Amino acid sequence: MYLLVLRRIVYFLMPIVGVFFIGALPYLFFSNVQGIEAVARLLESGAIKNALFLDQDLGLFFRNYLENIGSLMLRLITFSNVEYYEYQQIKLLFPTILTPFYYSVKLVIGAFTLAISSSLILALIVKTLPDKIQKGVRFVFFSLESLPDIFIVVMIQYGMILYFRNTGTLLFPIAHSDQNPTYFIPILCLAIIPSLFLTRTLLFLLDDEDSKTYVEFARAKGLRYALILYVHMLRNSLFSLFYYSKTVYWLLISTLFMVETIMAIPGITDFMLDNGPTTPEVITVSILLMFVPFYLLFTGVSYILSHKLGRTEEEVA
Amino acid sequence: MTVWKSPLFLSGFLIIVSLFFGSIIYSNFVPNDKQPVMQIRYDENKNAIDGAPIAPFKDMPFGTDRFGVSILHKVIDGAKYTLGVAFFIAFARLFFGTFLGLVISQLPKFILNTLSKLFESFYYAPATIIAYLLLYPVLQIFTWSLPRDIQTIFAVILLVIIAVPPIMVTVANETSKFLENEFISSVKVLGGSRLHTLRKHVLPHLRPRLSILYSQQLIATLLLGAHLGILQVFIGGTDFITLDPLENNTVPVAMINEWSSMIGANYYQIRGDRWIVFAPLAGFAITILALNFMVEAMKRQYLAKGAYTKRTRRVKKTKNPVPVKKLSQEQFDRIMKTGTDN
Repeated sequence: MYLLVLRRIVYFLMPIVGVFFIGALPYLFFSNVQGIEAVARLLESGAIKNALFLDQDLGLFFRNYLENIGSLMLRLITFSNVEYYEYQQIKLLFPTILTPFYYSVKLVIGAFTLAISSSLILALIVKTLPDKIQKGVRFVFFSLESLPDIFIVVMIQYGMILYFRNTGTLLFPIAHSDQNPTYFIPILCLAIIPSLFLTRTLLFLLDDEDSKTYVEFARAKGLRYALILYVHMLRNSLFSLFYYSKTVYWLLISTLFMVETIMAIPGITDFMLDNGPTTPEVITVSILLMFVPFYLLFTGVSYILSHKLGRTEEEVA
Repeated sequence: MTVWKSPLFLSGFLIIVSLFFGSIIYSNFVPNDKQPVMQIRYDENKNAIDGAPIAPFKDMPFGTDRFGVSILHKVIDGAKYTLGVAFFIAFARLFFGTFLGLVISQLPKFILNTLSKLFESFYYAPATIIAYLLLYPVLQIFTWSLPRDIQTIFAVILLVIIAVPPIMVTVANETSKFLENEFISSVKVLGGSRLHTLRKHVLPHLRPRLSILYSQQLIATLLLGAHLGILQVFIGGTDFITLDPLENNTVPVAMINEWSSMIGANYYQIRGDRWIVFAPLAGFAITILALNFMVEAMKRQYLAKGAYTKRTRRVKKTKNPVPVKKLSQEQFDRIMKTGTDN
């Protein structure tokens, strides 16, 4: 029994440990990671003109790697702060990282709610369309979903510029400035691909639901199809949709990089890209900040669902 | 191989093949030293009306970049690098991933469980940040301390390595699930060794899934390349060109006409001279769309229910109509009187 609980806890902690292994990868491949920071500092202060002084070897340095993972874990477990270097000063990571983190969290949560709600509406609309139109609409959705995320972000940004040029009114700010923080356009860009993905998945689940006997029975009783769809089928497939939230999270995070870079938003990924190469610890901490809340929520809810419904992830997803 | 009959798959496949081979053939006829260049555009009265970067017009369908080189030429020429590197990287990822996955599936089960939990973090840390974290120092910070070819080799190896763990876990999971089938125990009873099981039963089962995985890895590689391009990390190698010596205005320039570096190196020009960025971006969009069509067609074909059982070619049975006996009047009358019995 104790062994079982212990194994559960170990399995639960595994992905979090994996993040540490990813974040410390530069120590594995580069012989002199601290040197990057030192040279960057000298470059900015103007003491040297180029990075010729940096003596760096490529290879596999396992001892360095493991030592660094250990020391970072120790520091995070004991809640001591992590230092990083920016603009010629050593800064502490913890109060500084929270501002960009909150900005990104707002964007991600906004995009997530937008994606969920729009996919619900879209899926229900598509499902009630006549078959022939439905086929066409599904194909259009599939094609849009397969476009690369940069393409969509750039097109939306350019569309806003085009509208501004022709009419003279700027609908929404398309790039970030401190006086005028932008929310709507980045959230829209972030939400498009996940909502198309969710729509497709929901349609797939609803199609699956179509063949079940309770739907046939309800229709035989004379209930309208729309009613069955809105009340019963939707409720049944929403639980299964939950297990796809992992993929949605992945889609959101990888698009977040592009959105924040292209629109100059000072969010967490921007922070990671700025300070990651000089201090890899920043990457580990930022990924953990984004990932651990989601992971706790996901694991908790799936635990509850599997107990209440008696279903497991593998059966549904 | 009925997937070849699906129009979705065929259209995607034709687009990819024509882009790749078209690019190779094109650059045979128009090498880079003969590339179309137009620095200044004149109208009929020899008045200069536009300077590089020239907006798209009839002679230069996609315009030119800031050095006057035709964008159309650059995009067609670059297709072979972008696609070729992606083909290679995706293949290497799949090769090592499948091999390691098959090895792991033969080891005790707890190893697979532990590894699949540990590498779950690869889903949460996007490949973009891992690749950036490791490639940016090599390609941008200490470029001087390493020769150019080592940089490129390192970049390619790294892009292979970062995707191997997820593929490995996927393949191992798929294999160990397949090995739970009942007929596998029959295989063991009849004396099939592990190698035999892998070769004769697991690989035929995995093959369609691997071809789907290959196309998906191609898409992932192309997207990763495009992301890295936006983040100013060019796999093809970076050069720095000083535009304005007095103001120390140095811009990174890609060494080959690779699409992702074309986007990244010119991204700052999107507001003024958008065509420089849009043409390679459209190339990416078309390629990825075509690949997604192929994936979708293969999924429909292979992952449908009962796809594992081998379909025998249906022999068309021609049904000959039963010949009708023509009865004479006399016979007919007799039958009507007595019935067919007598």
